[in-house]
Amino acid sequence: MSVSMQTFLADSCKATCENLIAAVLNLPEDKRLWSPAPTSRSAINLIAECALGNAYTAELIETSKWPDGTLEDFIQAQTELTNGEWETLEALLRSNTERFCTAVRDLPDDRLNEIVELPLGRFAGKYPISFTVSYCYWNMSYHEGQINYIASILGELK
Amino acid sequence: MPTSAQTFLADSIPVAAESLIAALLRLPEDKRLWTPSETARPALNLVAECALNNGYTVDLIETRQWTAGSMEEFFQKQTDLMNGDWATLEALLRTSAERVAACVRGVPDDALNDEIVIPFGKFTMTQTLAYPYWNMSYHEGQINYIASILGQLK
Repeated sequence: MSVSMQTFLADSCKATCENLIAAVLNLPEDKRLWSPAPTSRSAINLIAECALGNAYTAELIETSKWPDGTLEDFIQAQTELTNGEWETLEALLRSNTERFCTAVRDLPDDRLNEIVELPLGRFAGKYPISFTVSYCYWNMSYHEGQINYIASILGELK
Repeated sequence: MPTSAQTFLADSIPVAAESLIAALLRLPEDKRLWTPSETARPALNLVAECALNNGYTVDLIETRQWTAGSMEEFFQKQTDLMNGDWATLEALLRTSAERVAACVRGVPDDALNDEIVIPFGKFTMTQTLAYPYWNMSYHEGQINYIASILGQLK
């Protein structure tokens, strides 16, 4: 049976989300907000970005438009999540991932070439939606690697 | 037009390889073998793993067999690549990414649920096809994390 890109991404993102949570929980509790240098980010901050990014990407699929708000708004929301309760962030990551998975699974083939605009940082520009929908899978895999790298620095990688 | 999982992954693999190379090259040359602690790996070691595993994944898809030999043999090859010249490793990463992308693109739909057993566990063919893209994205994150520790992340 064939597997579409949309089904692959929906199935994979769900699994990657759980791997990301497992990676954070593998860190000692007192190291989840730790970073090895003032210029590097903590594991919880990386998770907060993924939780928000998954919701933004879901909204992009749902509305063909990146949610309103500036980069500063995004960073503020990320900072609040980073400094809040883990249970809240964990639940948000799971629910936003679920929302993204539903949106991408339901994305019809005839929308794959639709052009959407991303306003953010180094990713700013116009892209086909088929490119932007792979962001959540790539981003969570990328940050899982980073969280496990923090674990490896601490000698905690299993 | 529909895009299959195989097409998506085959298209994404060379892009991930180029992103990995770009991440490595952003590090100062004298920091590519540097680690922030004794228990963490240097960037060149991560790239060497990706170059080797892209090739082993081709074998796995084609033969359903893990051909990398023992872990000791794998680590020896990885160490040799890491300590060799960059041009050799870069070329190996690119060619292995091209090979695995072509292989992934050619996998028929009716093989996607096949089960593959390797020394590290059981995987479906779909999970195996996803591995090179996932692995290079994962290690790109790690190389950029090293850059961030050094204050070099752009």
